[in-house]
Amino acid sequence: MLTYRVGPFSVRLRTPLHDLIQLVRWCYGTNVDAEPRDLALFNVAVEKGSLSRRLFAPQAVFRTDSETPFQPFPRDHAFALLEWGLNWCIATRAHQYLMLHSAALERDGHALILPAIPGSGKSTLAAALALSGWRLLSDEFGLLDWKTGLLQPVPRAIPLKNDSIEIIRRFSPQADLGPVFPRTRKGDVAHLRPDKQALSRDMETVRPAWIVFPRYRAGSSVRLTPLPRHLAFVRLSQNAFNYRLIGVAGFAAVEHVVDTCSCWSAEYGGLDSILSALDRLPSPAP
Amino acid sequence: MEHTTDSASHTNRDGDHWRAVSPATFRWANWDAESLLFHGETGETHILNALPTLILLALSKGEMTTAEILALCLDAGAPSPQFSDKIHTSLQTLSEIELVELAASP
Repeated sequence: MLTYRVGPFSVRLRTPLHDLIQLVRWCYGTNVDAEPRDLALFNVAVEKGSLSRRLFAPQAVFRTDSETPFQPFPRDHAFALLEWGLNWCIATRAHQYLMLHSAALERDGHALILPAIPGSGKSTLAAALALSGWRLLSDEFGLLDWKTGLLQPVPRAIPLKNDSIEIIRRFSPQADLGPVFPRTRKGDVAHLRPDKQALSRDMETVRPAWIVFPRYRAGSSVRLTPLPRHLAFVRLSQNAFNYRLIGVAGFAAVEHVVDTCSCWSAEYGGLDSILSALDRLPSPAP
Repeated sequence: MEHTTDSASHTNRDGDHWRAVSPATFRWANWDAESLLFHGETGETHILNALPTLILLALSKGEMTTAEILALCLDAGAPSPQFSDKIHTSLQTLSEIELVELAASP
């Protein structure tokens, strides 16, 4: 049994897979065996698959309580399976937040929201920002507390896929990447470990200041364009996992965050240029 | 999310009485010429341009006939009597998305 914290959540993991335990310890460091938080406890297990498969194609199965939400994965993909399983736990249970499908990072006390849209390059961009002085709040979930309007960090491994793995290796020699899991359902995947600062400050909530909808286009020069607020509202509400579920609270939360942030669409063709543009985003009024 | 405009065509009677559906559950957000409306009755969010916004705001205060709505829009600066087609279309569209409904004539 292993217990570790991810932001406001605690994970209690049962598994016989020692390689998986090693990777969880590598990734979550000081947050492993930390005092559990009361807000939500996910009881999960990653178990060996059926006996008949163990000899030739061993499998790993993710379970939470009595549910098995996914088909088995190859056993050597167990860490990727666990991370996706935790995404499922958060997405289906954390309705005290408006859950944006986005990355979120912090600089000088202000948060940047990068909603995920197809082709956005969200995770690659989040990884590059996290390796360039921004504090990683989250790669997958922008957890917006709809009572306070603040973003709750949930720093976890950033799953980089396919070409992004090498792009981030080249971008920063400091990138602490785990093993490459080849040919998963999302292609080759390697995880960037969240740094110590992100893990240790995982209960420091942040007020959002910027919403940037990124779009990667190979060869494009960087271009940031102000986005009308009503369009930002539409795009952000469509991007949230539980917007409809939480009703008027979701509407009010999106209205507030759109009203108080500067909203942009961004096209970019290279990491250096978009990072430079994001560094020059105007600071919010005090 | 539905985007309501005044571009389709439809006719109805100027004497029809209209009312908003559960206007107490409306929540508005307004930016520039566009409005967003959360309708608590259906849980839907709508993006509305100026004309349906004007109509809904008026009907939120009480029932009106089509002719009264047209007069209100002309007062608000609508360009000409031909504008009535747009009023009728907007009312029909708002009715289809359950934001307004015909009321019994008094």
